[in-house]
Formats: sequence, structure tokens, C-alpha cells
Amino acid sequence: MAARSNEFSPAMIASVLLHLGVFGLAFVSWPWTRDLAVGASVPINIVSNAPDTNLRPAIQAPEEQTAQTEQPVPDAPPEAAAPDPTPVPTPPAPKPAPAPPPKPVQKAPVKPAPKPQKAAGLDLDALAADVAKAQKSSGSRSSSAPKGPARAETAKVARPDLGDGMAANALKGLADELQRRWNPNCEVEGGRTVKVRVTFTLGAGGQVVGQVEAGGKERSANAVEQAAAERAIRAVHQAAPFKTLPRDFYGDRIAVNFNAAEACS
Amino acid sequence: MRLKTLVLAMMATFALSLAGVGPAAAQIEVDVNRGDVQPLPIAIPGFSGERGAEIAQVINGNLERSGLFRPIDQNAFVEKTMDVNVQPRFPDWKAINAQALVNGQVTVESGRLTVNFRLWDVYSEQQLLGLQFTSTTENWRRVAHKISDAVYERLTGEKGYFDTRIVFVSESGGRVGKVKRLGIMDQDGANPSYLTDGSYTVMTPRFSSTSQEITYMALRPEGSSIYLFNLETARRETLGNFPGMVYAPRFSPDGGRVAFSVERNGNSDIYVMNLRNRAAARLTSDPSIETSPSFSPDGTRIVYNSDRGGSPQLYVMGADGSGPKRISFGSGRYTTPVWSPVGDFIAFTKQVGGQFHIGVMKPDGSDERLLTTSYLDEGPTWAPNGRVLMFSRETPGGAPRLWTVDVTGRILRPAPYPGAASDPAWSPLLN
Repeated sequence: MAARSNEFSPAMIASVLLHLGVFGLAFVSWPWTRDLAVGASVPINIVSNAPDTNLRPAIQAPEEQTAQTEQPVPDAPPEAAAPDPTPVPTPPAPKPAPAPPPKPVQKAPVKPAPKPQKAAGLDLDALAADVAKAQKSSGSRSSSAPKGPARAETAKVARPDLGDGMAANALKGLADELQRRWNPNCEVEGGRTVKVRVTFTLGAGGQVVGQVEAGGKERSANAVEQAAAERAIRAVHQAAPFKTLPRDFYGDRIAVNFNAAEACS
Repeated sequence: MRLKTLVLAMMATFALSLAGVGPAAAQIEVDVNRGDVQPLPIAIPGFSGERGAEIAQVINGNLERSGLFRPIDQNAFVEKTMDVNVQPRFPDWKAINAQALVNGQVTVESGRLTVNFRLWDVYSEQQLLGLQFTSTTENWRRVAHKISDAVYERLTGEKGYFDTRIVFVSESGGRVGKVKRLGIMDQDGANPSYLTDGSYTVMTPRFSSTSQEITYMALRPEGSSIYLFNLETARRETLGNFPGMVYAPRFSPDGGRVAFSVERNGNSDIYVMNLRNRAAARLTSDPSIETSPSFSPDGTRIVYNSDRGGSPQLYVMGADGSGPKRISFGSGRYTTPVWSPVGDFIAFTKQVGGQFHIGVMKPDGSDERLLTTSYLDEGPTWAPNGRVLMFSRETPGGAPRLWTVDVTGRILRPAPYPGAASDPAWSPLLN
């Protein structure tokens, strides 16, 4: 019995009571918490960078379904050939242009290539025709060729099969489309001197195939440059599809030089 | 003849080989030198959840007031309900010509507010930004300002200035017995309150660029004094006693010094005080009026105005008073110079030909541009990103109001504070 009473000595009881008291204090809310001074600010925490999301079911995902290869161009009327690559928005997307009506693209006077009957030995005429054909179908047709009317908006491109005037007009139309959509930010520091070169590939139907790139500026560490590159890329996406371009341009790589100096002046 | 045939054949072969090395597809060059320069159309539907609509409204207001964005009317939206975790239906947003889209979600749990938002590039169909903020529920406006800053920075490349506050001199009463109290508000005019009771006149409040602390001049019948006032702790203290009138205080960029003017016997000079040891040093000693000191962002130079040349003009000297050099040479009077927090410009008030202007010039005095013109414009202060200025404008017979103008002078509009106010000072971004 004596041993039992030793287990609950006054010191032990006091200790237990003190512990219980401290534990209980934790549940008491005190009325004299500090009032924030007028003008004091309460902090805000950035908890996390939210990850990219792509959770919309595939059927609703507005994925661009673009043809990766050039479609065979039928001679039939254009409406038969236009497989619209993107899900058409309920109200139609911004209309491309007032530009010239879609002409049934006449595949220009396709190489008359008079092919006389074979002659024995080296046929120089046939060889010359082959050279002309090869030059026409290769990249050299648009590489530089400073022909066509001198226009500020378009570089000159020689397209033997389209004729200089037609090619220049088509490219002017393309430039017009882009400058109607390009919204450079002239108000930010450095925005007025921005130059962005954007490249993309035209698919059949005039839509953009694959990525529109700004030479890496769209990932630049310079935030103003990055934003400017994104605005230029946005102009291309907004202006696409370039349906007024003749089919001869389909499959071509387009490089657009956006220059803010004049646009912001 | 045979030789000629051979030569022709070789030339043809060479030409063929050249043709063969060209690229498979052509690259066409197009130059675009013109654009459709306009505020960026942006769609900001109400965020889902408690306070979601109000948060979106604050973001709309901030971006619209910047002049760089044109928020689209919510009635035009095709996609009416959105989930922040689901990709938007981009064609619906393209249809209304939105170039950017901000959507978000608000949740409140145990008194804590959590706001998720995402910024989308509608035409590239990509997420540009996704962030989550938490705070107390009553702090929802600041969350909206932080989101505005994040969106502004991502789409322009420059820091935002929306999570900031303005201190100003609130004016009430008639010309006789006018009461000038120290006021403070959010940059969008919300949460206005007074910091002084109007028992004395307050002038030239200035924010520290490193802390939530302000300095201002208090004018009483017995004289003037300069106060330091900590907004977090509400602690107020004077800078000390000086013989003569003290005025026009301004913090150094590191917040460790205050430059100010002391007027005695008609002569004003500029002093600087180290706030740690309270040691003051005199920087100018010309027998003319030197006042309105403002530090360069690196703290090594001070711009001020002096009438030593006959009329008030702007000068720059070392922060120790060395090498004063005049930088303004135009006609009229140049006063209240303020160095931009990013260092590229000095803003000032100019009075010439009976008109007042807010203007900017480069620190060497070049490229002077007048941004505003009116009966009375004065007292510019810079937003922390150095792109926007606030100042006070007074019309004949009217009370002074606060206005803002961007550094290009194109975006000029009244500040969203309805009362009579002057002498604004913009805070740094809040933490």
C-alpha cells in the first residue's frame, strides 16, 4: 500500500496538472492578437508553378490536323480539293483577305519542252530542256531572283511558272495579311527596334504545317524579345490559312522578317 | 564543230549538277514593315469559385488601364464555362479575336484563399503561364494584382506595377483652411485611407524603394520637420531638428539615406542623412536655391534643380556633392526631377509659355520630351517598372486630381481616385 501511494506523490500530480495546463493553453484563442497597422500588407505566397495541362479529352482537343505532305493538286475546281485541316470554329475564323478571287490555278504554260525524236549520240536540245526543267523544279527559282516590282513589303521572287507579276502580287497579298495581324508592342523598352524572323512551311490549302519558329527568340531569356517573337508567331497563326496564295507556293518554306522600326514609327 | 559540241555538253552537265544541289523546297522571303499597333485583345472570364468574378474584374481593370491591353467584353464569349485544368476551346476564343486568354479557379479552405490561373496564347494554342497563389481571403485584391503583374510581364516582357500602392496628399476644404492629409491607396484606387489626421499640413510624401516606409514633410505653425513612417509597424519618427525649414525629402535607392533641402535666410541647399548613424552632410553650398534631390537607381548620383543660372534648371551631381553639371538647357522652369527606377530617364515638371508639362529626358539631358500639357501638371512619380508616371493635374478653379501617363506620352488618363489629391508617390512592388 505504501508503495502504491508513492506512485502518486504530490510532485507527480503537480507535474501532470502542469502538462495538462500547457496542453489546454494551446486551444485558447487570445483576443489581443496584433492589429495590422493601416497600410500594412499581408503576404501572398506563390505555392507552385502550375504544370501544363492537356486534360481535355481528345475528341475536344482542337488539334490541328494538317497534311504533312503536299496534296496532289487536282485540276478540278478548288472546292473539291480543299480538305480543311483545322476544326472549323463555329463562327468562321478571321477571314484571310479580300485579295483576288481564287483563280483556278492554271499550271502555267507547262514546259512546252519540244521533244523531238531521239537522235543518236548527245542530244543537246533535250539536255537543255532537262536543265531548264531541273532549274524550275529546284529551289533556285526563289532563292534570290531580284525580279518583280520593287515593293517595300515583299522580297522579290522569281517564279518562272507563275510569272514575276503574279508571284509578286501573291507575296504582297501574304505580306498584307501578316501586317494586318501583326500587333507589335511599341510601348515597351526595346519594342520599337525589334526584328523577328519567323519561318514556317506552307501546306496544301495554305495552312501552316508544323511549328512556326522565330529562330529561338520565342525561347529567349530576354523577356521583351520573347514576347515580341510570340507576337510575330501569333500573327502568322492568325493570318493562316493563306488561301489566296497560288498552289505553287504550297510546300514552300516561308521566312517573314518582321521589323518594328517602321511599324512603330 | 565537234569541239563546240563537247563544250556545250560540259556546260549543260555543269548546269544540271548545279541545279541538283539546290534545296528540295523553295524558301520565300517576305518583309513585314508595317503592323496593326493596338492594345492586345485579351479575354479574362470570371474565375470559378468564391470571389472569382471580382478577381477577374480587378485584372481586367488593371490591364485595361495600362493602355497595352483591350479586355474583351464578357458578353462576347462563346465558351461560357471553363475548367482551369482543361484546355480551352481555342476556336471559340479565336472567333472573338482574343489573342490571349486568362482563366482561373478560386478555392477557399480554412480561411485560406487559393487561386490558380493560366495564361493561354489563343493562336499558338499554348499555355504561356500557370501559377497558384495563396493568401488570406480578405487579401483577394492583392492576389488579383499579382496575377495582373504576372500576365503583364509575360505578354510584354516588362515587369508589372499593379501590386503597388500610392501615397499622396489628400486635399479637402476651400482655398482658405485647406486640409492636406497624408493618404494611401492601392494603385487602382482601392482601399484608400488616411495616415495623418489633418491637424498639420503634409507635403512631398516619398516611398522608400526597398521597404514599406515613407518620408514626408510636416508643416506646422512652429516650423517644418521631416518624418519617417513605417507602414508595417506604424512607427513614426522625425529626422531631427535643423535650423531653418526642411523639405523635399527622398530616400536613396537602398533606403539607408535620405536627401532633403534646408532653407535658411533665403538660401536652400541639399543635405543627405545617413539613417543608421543620423549623420548629415551638406552637398551643395551655392548661394542659390538647390532643391528636389532624387538619387539615380545605383545611388551614385543625384539629380536636383537649381536656379543658379537664373531660372530653375536640372543638374546632376555625385551622391557626395561632387561634379555638379547642368543637364537641362531649354527655356522655362524645370522642377521636381525624379530619376526613373530603371535609370533610363529623368522625369520633371516644366513650366513654359504659361503651360505646365510633365516631361522626360535622358540623364545626360538629351532626348527631352514633353508628355503632357495643361494649366497645371506637376509632381511626377514613377511606377516601379519605369514605364508609367503619375502626377497631379489642376484645372482653372478646380481641385487637383491624379493622372497617369506612360513614358511615350500616348497613354494619358485620370488615375482611379475620385478625390482631390496631389503629390503622389508610387511604392515599389509589394512583397
